Amino acid sequence: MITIVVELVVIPVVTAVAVFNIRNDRLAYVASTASAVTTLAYLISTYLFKRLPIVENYIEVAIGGHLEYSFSLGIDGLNVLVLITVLTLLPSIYLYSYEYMKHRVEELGKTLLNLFYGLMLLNTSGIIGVVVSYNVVTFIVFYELVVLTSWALIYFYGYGNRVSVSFTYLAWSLIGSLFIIVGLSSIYVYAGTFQFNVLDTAVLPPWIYYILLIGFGIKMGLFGMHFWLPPAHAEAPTPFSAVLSPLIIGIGGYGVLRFIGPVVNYYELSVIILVLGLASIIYGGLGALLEVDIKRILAYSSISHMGYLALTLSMQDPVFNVMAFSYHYLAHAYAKAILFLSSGILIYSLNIRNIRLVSGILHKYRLCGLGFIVGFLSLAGLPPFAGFISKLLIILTVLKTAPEMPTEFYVLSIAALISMMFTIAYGIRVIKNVVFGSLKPEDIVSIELPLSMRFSLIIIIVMLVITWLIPHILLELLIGVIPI
Amino acid sequence: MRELLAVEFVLPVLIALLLLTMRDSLLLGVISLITSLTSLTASLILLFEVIHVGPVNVELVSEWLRLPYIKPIDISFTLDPLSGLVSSLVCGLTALILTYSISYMRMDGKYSDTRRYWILMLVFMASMLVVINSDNFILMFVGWEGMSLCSYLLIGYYYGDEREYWIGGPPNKAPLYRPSYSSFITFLIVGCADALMLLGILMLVTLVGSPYYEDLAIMLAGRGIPEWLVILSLLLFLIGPMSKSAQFPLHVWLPYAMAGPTPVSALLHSATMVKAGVYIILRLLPHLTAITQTYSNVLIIFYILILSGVISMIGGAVNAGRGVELKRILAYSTISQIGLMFVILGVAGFMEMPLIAGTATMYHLISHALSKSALFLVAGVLIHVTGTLYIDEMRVYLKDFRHLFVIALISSLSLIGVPPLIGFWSKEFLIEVIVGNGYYTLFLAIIIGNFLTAFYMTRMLIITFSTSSNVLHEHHAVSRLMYYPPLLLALTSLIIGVIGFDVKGYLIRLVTVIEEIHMVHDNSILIGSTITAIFSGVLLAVLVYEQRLLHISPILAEITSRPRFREMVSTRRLWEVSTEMVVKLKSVRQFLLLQAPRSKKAFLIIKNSLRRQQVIVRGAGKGFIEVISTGVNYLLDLVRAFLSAKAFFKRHQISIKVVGVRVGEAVFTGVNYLFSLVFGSIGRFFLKHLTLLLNAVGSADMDTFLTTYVITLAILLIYILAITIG
Repeated sequence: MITIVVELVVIPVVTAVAVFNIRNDRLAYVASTASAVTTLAYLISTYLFKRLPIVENYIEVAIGGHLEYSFSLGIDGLNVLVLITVLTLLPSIYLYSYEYMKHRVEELGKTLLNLFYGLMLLNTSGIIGVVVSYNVVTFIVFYELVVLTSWALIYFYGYGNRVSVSFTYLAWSLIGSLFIIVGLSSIYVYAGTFQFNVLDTAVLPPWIYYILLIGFGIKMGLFGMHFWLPPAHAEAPTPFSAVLSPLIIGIGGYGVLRFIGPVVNYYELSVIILVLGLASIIYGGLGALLEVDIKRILAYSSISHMGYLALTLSMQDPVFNVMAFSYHYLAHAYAKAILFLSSGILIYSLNIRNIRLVSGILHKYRLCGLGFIVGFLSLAGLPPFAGFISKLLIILTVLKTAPEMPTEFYVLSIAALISMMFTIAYGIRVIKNVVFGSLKPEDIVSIELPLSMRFSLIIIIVMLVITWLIPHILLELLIGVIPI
Repeated sequence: MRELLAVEFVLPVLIALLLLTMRDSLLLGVISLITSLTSLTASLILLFEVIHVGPVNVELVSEWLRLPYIKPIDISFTLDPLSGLVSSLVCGLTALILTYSISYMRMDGKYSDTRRYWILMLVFMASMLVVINSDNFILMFVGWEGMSLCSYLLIGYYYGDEREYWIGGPPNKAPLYRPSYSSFITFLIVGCADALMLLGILMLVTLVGSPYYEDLAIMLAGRGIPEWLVILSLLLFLIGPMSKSAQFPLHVWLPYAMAGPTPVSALLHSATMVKAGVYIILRLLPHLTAITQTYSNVLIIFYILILSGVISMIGGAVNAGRGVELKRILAYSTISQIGLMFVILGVAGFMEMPLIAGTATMYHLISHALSKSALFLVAGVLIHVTGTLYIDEMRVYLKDFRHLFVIALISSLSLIGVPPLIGFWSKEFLIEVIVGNGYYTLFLAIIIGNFLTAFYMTRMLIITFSTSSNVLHEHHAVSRLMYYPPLLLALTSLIIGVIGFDVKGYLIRLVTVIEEIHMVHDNSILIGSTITAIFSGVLLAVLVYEQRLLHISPILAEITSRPRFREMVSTRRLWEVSTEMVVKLKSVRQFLLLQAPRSKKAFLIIKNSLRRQQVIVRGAGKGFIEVISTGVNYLLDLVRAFLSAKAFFKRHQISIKVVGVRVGEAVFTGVNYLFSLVFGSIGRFFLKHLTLLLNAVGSADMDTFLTTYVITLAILLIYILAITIG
């Protein structure tokens, strides 16, 4: 029996237990960063991509010779790129977080950071667990772990009205979880097992998919179910925003891909996902154009890009669908992370979030300005950044699938593609206001940026360029193993 | 060949990465210069090889991207005489302009860290070469977006927005624009257009099943694809070239692009990047005409090219004739000249041998690149020497700057099309193509364009270089190194012009592989009419600005300073109506609320959110009202123009009766009247009123952006719906 995937989940949990007991900030920081890097290194060193898909079963419970329950983990074509994104992005966020959170903890009047790092590690473990789980129960358990730790991180370290915001988040997420639990439990009723591998073949009544869609829609923050998202993203501690925004809400989309994707050839379901996606794209774009708080702009931009994920999910081409989803998840995660980390530098050094009050950041913090430019241009889909490939794949997916559908479906999806102009508009608006221009406020005392922050930004920029340069390596990983 | 290609494109990018580690401006400049010279050598060797061997396909990386249903996308290039010529031109111009930049960038005191300038210039050259040589749409688009990116960042080079880098004005009369704002406008237009272009490209690619140019027509023919889909994808594709080449509806960004450093304007925004749109249509011309044989209605795109080209040609020339900023005049002149190229490309669609028109376009492309970049380089020196952007304030003494004057004169004459300079031959070739195919209306338009070109270039020279020595300001010293690149460019256009009777035939043989053509046997009438147009243009400018015989400005002032329609008819009422509509949408707005109101802050949140939705709806309303009101405005404008001209006549007739002066004055008055009509009405009509919608994007109000977005969306969706349902 191979034991590769389970290590990815176990390493952060073990480190978290250790970190909760360490009474030293720096040690906690080093331990968690090391843990994140180890997890990544573990994935790379086992070189498991060569023999995808892999499934591991533990604690098997068999009743009457029939596999009833097991703690199953697995990697296949649907989750491999999501997993790679999570594992490659997290080390740089951990690297960045120390100086920022030390600053934040001083503001809050607390003393120790080990709670933060313990929660972050549990959260990381939860995200990885959700992505690699191959069993409904495992999936739900890890999802709840993510929700609870996210709530705790916002509650303890957030900004503004953090108590109210965190409970709003918790309430919405638990409602979403409720829908998900109801939907997934019904799978057991109809299919007789919790394992994922039956999902392709099981014949389920359609209402289950609608319930699942509501649940995952709330987790993704699609239009109409997004009310918790802007405040939660804006008020979370910034390194955690960089996890929350691209990674955690993105796995809602992964849930749709995993559970609804195989059967999305219900036309009505496709149309509903498409309409929700289109509404999110336009609503998020408008919000990002009109907001002045930099973190809220990024939050609305996340809503808009979740709309693009929904757009890819509503398309019924089984291969392009997965490719476009996975690559957009990756490109959006990197770009959004670098944007949040750059806005974190604004908060860290100037304590300003309003983009009207700050301009000409390029005079003092070169790397921060570069981060904004690279992030927004990658979101807008310009080469040489990963966003270009994802934009290409999204448009190709739509153009390949939609013409065979009824006219209104085609028209709606073309409208979604034209709305890509929004991303360009709000991106360069922020660049013009914040990055360029004369220095404002004029009496900025330039703080030397810590080396760890700079490194993490540079690493993400390099990753954005590399993922543009070698799309075939990542995509061929998918083409071989998409399970359809 | 692979090695040479790698040297040509990949080396500049690698060197650009290397430049990140250096600080010294001189060292950076010299290394970039050497890199561009290396690329030039490589491209020249490739050109000669291609001329001897014939077109070659070279593959650098195979299967860069492998996608289902579509042929694998390689990083591969087609080398033929056309691409070879244009890439040599680009490399050569880059080398010359980088030489110039070495001293130009050292004069810039405020921005001591010049690394990004050199890096972006080298990356720009590489991306332009990718666009020129690539053999498939996807790779071409990568280079295309690379150019947009470099242009965006180079326009915003003076990101600090210091006062001396603002453009526009003159102050108190016209608005001023900061570099950050200018780059923003540029990218808003070009970036959105590029997004639509990508949509068009990928539509074509999915229809055809292959990203390669060569498969386009062949694979399209056999598939039974509905015609409207082909037309839609080609129209979307066309948005890209039209925005990049600053053609009529999407030309708004080019004058803003002048906020960058002058060498950037010389290289990107006059000589090379803005020609990419022309080049890409030229490249696809055989394939496009092949498509028209299966789908005859595809010819509509050639009509669009002609229409947009004519409007840009006349409109750009009129605006150049009214410009007060040196660089802005040159920018409008670029729009006008590229419009001429678009006209020829449009005509090519209706010809039996489209590549002959293509050759004519390329000839004009080369001649315009040579003269316009030389003029920009001269402008850079003049702006530095005098410290002002406006030609009125420059008035440098001719004898102090006779070298510069000679360079500017040669380049201007070449641009006007005076024999024996290169511009004359290229324009003559264009006119030969037009008349040879019987497009006499277009011929008339081009003659008017030539007349206007002659007028505005002469006007610019007369105002900028003064024959009297009353110096208005202190002159700053300038390095001698900055004189040689423009001199070399001017000499090239002179030499090709003098020895180049056969250049046309050589180019035709090179590009179209046709031995002999006879289109128009006796073209003395054509040359005669061109020269007459040029002569009268020059004469008029000399009369107006040198001899000061005619006074256009009073009439212009009278017409342009009329009260705005907005004050004459109260649009406020319309405004109120739209606001009332907003209030009625309250329930909708509450649905759109961002956050469930829970705390006592709820009221505040609702209020803010109300404001936000109001801004959106109001913005849309504002955009539409603007469009309608300016339509009415234009009609009133025409009436006013007639009335004022009538009044003017009356005044002069009285004076003629009383004094009994010469008939000549009456003639002059007539010309004057015609001019006021041309300048005051046609110019305003084309460039202000019709383009208001796109100027709305230019005004950078977010709500007007939204209006444009909604309109684009609506037009496309209505198109699709109408075709598919009806």
